[in-house]
Amino acid sequence: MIDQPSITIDHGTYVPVAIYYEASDSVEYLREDAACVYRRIDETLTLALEMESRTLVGFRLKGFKNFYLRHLNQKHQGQENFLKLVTVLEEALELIGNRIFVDSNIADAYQNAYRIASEDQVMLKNMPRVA
Amino acid sequence: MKASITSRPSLVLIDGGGHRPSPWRDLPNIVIGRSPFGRDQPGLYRFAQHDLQKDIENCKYQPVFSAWSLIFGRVPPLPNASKITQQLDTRPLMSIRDAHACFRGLKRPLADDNHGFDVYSFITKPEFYVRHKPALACQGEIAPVAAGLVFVTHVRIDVVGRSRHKQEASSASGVITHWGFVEASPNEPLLPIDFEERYRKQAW
Repeated sequence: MIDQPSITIDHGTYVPVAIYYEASDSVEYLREDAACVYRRIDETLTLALEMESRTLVGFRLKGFKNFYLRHLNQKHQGQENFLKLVTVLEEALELIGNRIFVDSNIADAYQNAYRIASEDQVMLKNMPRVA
Repeated sequence: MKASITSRPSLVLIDGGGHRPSPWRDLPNIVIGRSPFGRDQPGLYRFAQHDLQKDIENCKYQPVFSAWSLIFGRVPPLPNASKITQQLDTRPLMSIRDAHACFRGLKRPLADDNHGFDVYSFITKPEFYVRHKPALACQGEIAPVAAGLVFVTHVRIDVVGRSRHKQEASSASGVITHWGFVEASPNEPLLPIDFEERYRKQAW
């Protein structure tokens, strides 16, 4: 039986995935492929909201390479070739420390991002180059 | 002789090989905008194509459509793009050249820049953008931008070999790193919310 060559189609369907962007040094996870509104929470976390309803559809983790090198690279060495974003958020929360109790908006935002990362079991497969 | 036949390399079909990319996937490398050092001076900005290719590989098309319609100010060159142009009628799309404000400093690390000092954010207030919409006739449509939003394009300016003094009244070059809609300030509806805390200073 001869294998049929696959046909290149111009448009595929988006399957939610975490992507590391080198130019902006950030990781973004969106549940849908749509224009969204970005709401800055702090220097690490930005929430992505649906444009009209402002419901949460994802999040962006900024300054990621710096964060990864300082806080995750050592812990993650020798493990799988992917990184769970819940692990990143847990580490970020640890660094925020007391601030989380001072500003309830920050606490809610991290909680919501964590919920999405956990529910969708979001993993980053293309890690920043460390060398 | 027999050994040389068995060691002959096998042919491998490269999926998509030989095809030119569709024009809408092939964004121009350069966009002309305004310089952060003088609103009436030009800025030549390169596009971080590598990151957009990651989006395309993952079938995440809206960032590409947003770049075409909100940074280049053009309808993406899709098959049947005339349908989108008809929807626009005579209303123009906005580009980075239409920026009415520019801020310096992201106040967060960006790659080698620990504080994002050399990142400038150009602000526009578009009314429409091209939304990705899978359909047989045309893959995009004109969509209104929701009220109370501004569009921000972030550019990391090249500083190598240029003194700060020289920069202050000259054109600029740099890389467009990312972009997106943010909520507008309730008091200054043409500027991003919390712009005083979000950026280091306003360039113009």
